[in-house]
Amino acid sequence: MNIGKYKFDSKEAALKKTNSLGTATDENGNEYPTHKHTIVHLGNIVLEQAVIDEDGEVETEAVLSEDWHVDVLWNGLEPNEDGTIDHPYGWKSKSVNIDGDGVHAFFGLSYDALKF
Amino acid sequence: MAKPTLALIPATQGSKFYSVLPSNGVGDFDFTRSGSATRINKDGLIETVSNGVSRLNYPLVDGVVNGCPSHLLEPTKQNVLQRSEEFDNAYWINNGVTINANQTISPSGQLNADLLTGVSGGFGVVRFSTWSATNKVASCFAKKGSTNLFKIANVSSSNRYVLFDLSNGTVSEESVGWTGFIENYGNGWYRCTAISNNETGTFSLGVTAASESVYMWGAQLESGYKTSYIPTTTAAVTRSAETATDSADAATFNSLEGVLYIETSALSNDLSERRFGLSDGTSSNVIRVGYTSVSNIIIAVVYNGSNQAVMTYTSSDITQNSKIAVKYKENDFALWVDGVERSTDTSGSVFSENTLNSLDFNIGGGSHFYSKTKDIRVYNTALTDQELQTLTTI
Repeated sequence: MNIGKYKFDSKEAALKKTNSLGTATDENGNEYPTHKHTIVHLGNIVLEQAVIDEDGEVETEAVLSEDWHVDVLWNGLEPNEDGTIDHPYGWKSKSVNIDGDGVHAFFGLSYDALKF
Repeated sequence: MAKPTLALIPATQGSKFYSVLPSNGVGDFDFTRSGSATRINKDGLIETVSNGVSRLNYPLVDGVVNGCPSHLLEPTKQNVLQRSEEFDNAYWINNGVTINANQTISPSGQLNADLLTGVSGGFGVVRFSTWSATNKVASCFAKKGSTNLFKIANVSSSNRYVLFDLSNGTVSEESVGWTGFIENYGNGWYRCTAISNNETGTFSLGVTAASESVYMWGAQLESGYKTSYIPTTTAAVTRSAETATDSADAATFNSLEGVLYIETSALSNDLSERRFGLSDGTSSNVIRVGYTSVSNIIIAVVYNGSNQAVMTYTSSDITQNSKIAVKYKENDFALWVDGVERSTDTSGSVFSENTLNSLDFNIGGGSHFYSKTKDIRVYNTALTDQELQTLTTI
């Protein structure tokens, strides 16, 4: 089990990448993932909180990231020949490495302990 | 009555849903969940269950544990609120209240519930731009302080809310398009849930006037429908989806005739496909029960390349516990729910011998049977009507 944090240029680019992990369509036309990973689209995350005055009015709007952020809890990735486990092919270039969980965590799991 | 070849009554947590029969463990379901989750334990308290461990969840009636536990199986959900138990944290914007931290015992059994007292203005703690069309299901545990009224609101320009009465456990007021629910967790605590009308705006928890106070703990805002509590601190937190699959083998089941029985309740009447049943490990040969895209329908299907029997029953509420049995035999199919034969089909074939070899909480790929399940049995003979009535009577 590993946790990766990623950023993409756009929502569309992120969806294309996450969908490439595998989807199928049931007889009712509903699409569902065929992989066992947990994917969380965080979107344009807040980089700086809005500043609010005493009356509750917004003095300064929040600053959002231009990138589209995605957290992935990877399950069952195959180890490399040297026994290490890395991001799946094509994901490493989109990865970000932070200290601590940042704005999102998986329940009971530490990003610092499970990151690549 | 014949003895079931497979029987499961939830009694133990672990990496499997453990079956009673067969006694050699072949009937155990493989359980998966990456990460932790919470449950209601035998003392009626909310506690965290470790990574990959299944959950025995105890039912509360009037705030007291009453009855046997169920296996709780939930989809992935995210609590988008941070500091879910720390309303004095700067994450929560104070809108005219005083917060005294850790004033009483919370539903977790710990001294970590805060007291909110109205002072002026909005009488709540708020988060701007938090309600959304996606994240519209808000819940918070609340206990009467000096007032019995607790409010979950969108305090943006058109103030909308649900008002809860913490004395008698009722929903007092609902704004147009909003829905409220309240559940008794005992010791004066209620889990109050408000579902907004797909609006954006400022999320607020609080009281209605100055000097009024309530105790609060465990705030949650999520998509879809309310699920088990997800505690948060410095970040939004996702609980991963759970699966229970691949119980038993071809030797356990009779592909020619039998009964599939489950005592269960849906987590929500959310119109999603949820399927539990026997199969050959593919979607090609299936006996399944479940819920559909039609409100409160319980459906049973026997499929072996084409539908041999499709039987339905409209329940009054699929989130209430039901005893469901499907009888299958060539030209003799029936759906029993809660002691009554609800539908039959007297024409259709079944399967070749040794076709059925797996029992799963997911038939067809994406149709996970998210539920609270209290009993599962498979019989290798088509039971009589008298036996089916006895089996399914609540």
